[in-house]
Amino acid sequence: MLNGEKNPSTTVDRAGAPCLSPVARARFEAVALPHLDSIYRMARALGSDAVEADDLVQETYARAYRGFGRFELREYGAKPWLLRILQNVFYTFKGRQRREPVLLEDVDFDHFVDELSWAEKIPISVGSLNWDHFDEELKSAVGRLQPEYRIALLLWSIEGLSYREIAELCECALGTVMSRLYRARRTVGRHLREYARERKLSTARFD
Amino acid sequence: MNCAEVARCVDALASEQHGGVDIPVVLEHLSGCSRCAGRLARLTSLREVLARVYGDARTPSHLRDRVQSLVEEQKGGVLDSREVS
Repeated sequence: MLNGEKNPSTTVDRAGAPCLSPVARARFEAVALPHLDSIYRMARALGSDAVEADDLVQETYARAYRGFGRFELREYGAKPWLLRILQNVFYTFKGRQRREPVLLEDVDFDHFVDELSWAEKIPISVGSLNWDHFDEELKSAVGRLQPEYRIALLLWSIEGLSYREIAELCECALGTVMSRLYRARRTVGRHLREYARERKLSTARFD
Repeated sequence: MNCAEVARCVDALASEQHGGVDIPVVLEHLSGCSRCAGRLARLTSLREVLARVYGDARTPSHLRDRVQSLVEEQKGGVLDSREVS
């Protein structure tokens, strides 16, 4: 199937309702199921526990299957489409609407100058760190981020999406993505700095 | 190119989004500015750490089976694209 081409999607069942054709069903399995691990990784990072992650994944694939007739394979393939559905399922589960981008959220490039000085203070010389504990602290810090910031940070780090891909997936401006990532990184950095200080890990070089 | 302009480029580089970035100019700045170079290293490091912490999650077999079953069950089901946003 060429990029941008729609699926050979629908037939009509005995009740006259549209359903996926056998070709589209096979196509769905071919393009959607290979991304199951990626979707699960994001769901695991977004969900509060393994049970919720399972539910997020199942609902994502159920919606994806039902909507596959409208799916168009674009430049980035099926994964961004599935991630977008996952994001919407996540917001549904959390009982909130996705926040529309607001002017205040658009990036002010003074932030980046600010971040330059903030970044100097991230603890890096951590000595004999308990990495398992550190990982849990990091997850905890990410888990406390606002959903919009958390999603942007996870898409950037886990899925390796570019800012433009994140903007398209989240349906917001590029500057909004940059702003969300800036805030997410700053918040996580602050949390980890406090964590390092509490454990008297070496941060002298950065203070 | 000043530090603020480079900061924007560093963000793009850390995101492997090279389009529109004048890489030679940025590299020249980074070679003479430890602060900006350090920032790029930290952004890259943060991305790698987060990828490591979350990246090893693999779909458990019970969930893989359930999704596969779900697709099987939905075969022939009603297509309702209004539910997909």
